Amino acid sequence: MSALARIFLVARREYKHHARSKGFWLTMVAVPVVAVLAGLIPQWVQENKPARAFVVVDQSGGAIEAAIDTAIADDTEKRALAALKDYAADNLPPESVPMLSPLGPARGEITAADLAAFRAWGGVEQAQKILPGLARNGSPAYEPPGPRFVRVPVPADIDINADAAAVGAALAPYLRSEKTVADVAPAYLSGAIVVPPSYDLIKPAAAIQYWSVNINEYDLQTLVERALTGAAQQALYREQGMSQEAVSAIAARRVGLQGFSPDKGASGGQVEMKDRLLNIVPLGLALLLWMSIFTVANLLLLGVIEERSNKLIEVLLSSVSAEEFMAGKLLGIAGIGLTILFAWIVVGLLILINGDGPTVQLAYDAINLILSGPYIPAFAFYFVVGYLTIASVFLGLGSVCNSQQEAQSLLTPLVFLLMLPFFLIMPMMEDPNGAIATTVGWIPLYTPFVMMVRLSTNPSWVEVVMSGATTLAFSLLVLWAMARLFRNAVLRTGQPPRLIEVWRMITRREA
Amino acid sequence: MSLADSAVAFNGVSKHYGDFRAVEDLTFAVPKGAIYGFLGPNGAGKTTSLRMMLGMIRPTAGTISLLGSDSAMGVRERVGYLPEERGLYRRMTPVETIVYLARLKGMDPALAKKRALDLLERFGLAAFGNAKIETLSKGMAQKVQILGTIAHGPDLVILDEPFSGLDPVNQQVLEELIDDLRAEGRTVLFSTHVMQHAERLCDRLVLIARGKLAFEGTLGTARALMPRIIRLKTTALTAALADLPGVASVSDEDAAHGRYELKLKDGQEGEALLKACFARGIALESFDMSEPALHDIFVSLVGDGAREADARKDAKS
Repeated sequence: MSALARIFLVARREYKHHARSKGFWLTMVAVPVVAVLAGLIPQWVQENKPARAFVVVDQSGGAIEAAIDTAIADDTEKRALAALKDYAADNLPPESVPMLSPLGPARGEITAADLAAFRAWGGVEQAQKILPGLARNGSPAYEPPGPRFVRVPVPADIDINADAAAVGAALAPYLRSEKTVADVAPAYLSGAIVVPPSYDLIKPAAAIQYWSVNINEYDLQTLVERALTGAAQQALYREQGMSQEAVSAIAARRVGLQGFSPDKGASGGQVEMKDRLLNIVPLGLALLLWMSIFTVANLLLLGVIEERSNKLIEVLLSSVSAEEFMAGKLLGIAGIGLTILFAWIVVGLLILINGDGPTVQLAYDAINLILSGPYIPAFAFYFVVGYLTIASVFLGLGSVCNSQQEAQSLLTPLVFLLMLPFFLIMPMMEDPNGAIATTVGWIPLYTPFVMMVRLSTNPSWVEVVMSGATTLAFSLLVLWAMARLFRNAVLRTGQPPRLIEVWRMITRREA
Repeated sequence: MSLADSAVAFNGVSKHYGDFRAVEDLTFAVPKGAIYGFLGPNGAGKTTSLRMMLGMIRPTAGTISLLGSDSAMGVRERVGYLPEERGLYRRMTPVETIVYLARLKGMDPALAKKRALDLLERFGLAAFGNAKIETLSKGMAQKVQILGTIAHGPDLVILDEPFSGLDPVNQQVLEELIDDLRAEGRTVLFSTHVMQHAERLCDRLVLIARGKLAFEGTLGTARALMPRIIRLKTTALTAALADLPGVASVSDEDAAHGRYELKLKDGQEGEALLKACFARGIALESFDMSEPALHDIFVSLVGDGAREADARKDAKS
């Protein structure tokens, strides 16, 4: 039997063994599901947060309370309008969309003018009246989100004329949910705004107090601050003699910068969301590369430790050489890695096909980008060199360890070392051709991940080819060294060798 | 014995790890078709020698020929090896395990499957053929591994302590298996601590101590190395026994009970002594002239070495 046939037999056993494990199936299914959930859950939580109750104790005469009420009503209607736009994008046929054009652009920030237009158009009531006739068959009904905050009356046992600090202290049992403020939800108080008697928007003498148990919850505080800042600025303009119309026009004014890039010749240089994918997609691919390699490299480590600890290795090495055995394991586990990768892509595509809306469109754009660029051959190349390097190091590590505990102590520093490029993601993303990214890209261990990220920024072909050749040479060197270590260490018993012994095993012909 | 007649030939083989001499100048040959005992105390260098034989480690000096080839890897498909410490993939079944091991030795998949099923049937494991190894008893798993060693029909079977861990019934089964292999004309080389097995099975044996050859030859030759001891019970006095022809010395430690051990001079036989006793009117209650057991030969040849070897083993690890 040829060496290749023996390598194939070992590879086949590795593949079959791992493909039958529960972990393999879990990894294939769980990772894309978790990835999708990780994207959806925060959005779902944000959209489905229950309305929170708050009270306003306005000792200054009621103007602040009225301004807060207006801000809450505006916030609720802006959310209804945003939901309407999302609904239109997902459920209306293109020819019906122009009917909603008075409501401002399909995406982006909703301005005071958009809100005014929405109200003039008829608001939520109008939307609920006309949308059923416009939406595609089978579309769900348009349901605007409810208010995020509900102002409730100040509880009767609170002396609203007391000193601001005393009011806050008296509200403590309500804020701590020891007492309710209403019989129906929201029954518990999440915040209290106390406006001191002398408070004046134009010349504030004392600060407005915001009382809450949850000091990390900024939503209401931010909303009120923005609303009152706007109200104060408008009051100041009016004091300068400006008309309300002029003040509103100033408040509605927005200035934005349109992004351009010299690399975007065809579309006149204008940068769209699609173009930003150029940065995001390669990063995603680099992460995918890293994850798929690490998920399976660990299997190699555990496998060799099992074969060593139950002395199976000696039987196997009477049939196959250490090098054939190692090659078979590398090949079989690479097969597992590629199967997992393939499954992730399939599950991802299935989710996409059954999905709809702007996010899905963006994902299609990302796929087009991947298919049109050098990404697939680059990914394949970097997978091979990255896998060869990391997997053979894991195999070498397994050949000197007797137990998982022993391996763990050596593995932790190694994983940190291998994760280094991901700690440098931000500076590399901001300046993909800067000193950090260029330098780290030349370190063979990191080249596959870093160059994958940098590919979209058109690094010079000399750099791509030379760094590719360097990392390939490096991975072959590591493979050679680990094969020698494996051969000389795998039959040893007793304590793991010291570093100097490892070096000797690699460098001398025979242990 | 020529190389062509030997299944294994060690010629001046040494293995050194730094200053440590695991095996030193070992020369012996295993005839084809023989059952060959590979004996020695713990740490004598048996496993190192077997690993060198199989090409897993290279000797520091000397040459090894296996089935006429100087490369063990070149003839690995004709060799079956069962190491001393053994284990299997816990999640594989006995059938899968035997098929896998046989296929690694170049056996056709369908033939390997058939052979696995036949062997499991013959050794009473048919009902467990598709159970996971982790659910089997230790003895069963060991049997599976032994079957995996011989499934591909090797010309040379190397068994390192094959009897350890087996109950007496399964030890008997293994002895029968080794006999069967002999009947099929295969060569079996096995190491063991249990001298009775070697005594019953071996045509020839090699004894190594402290990495060096202590003895090589047949059991009969080994016995001839030992002085003949006659144990008898009599009312005669020590002096009368010492005066008998052919007696080298008399041990009378248990004379109070009338028991004596007589060491014979080289070349003297027990029958002549018995005749002399009758001729001189020495009344005998018992006369035991049984041959020395391999155990005694082992202790006599490597007794000091065995004690020393434990210390060497510690130094090696």
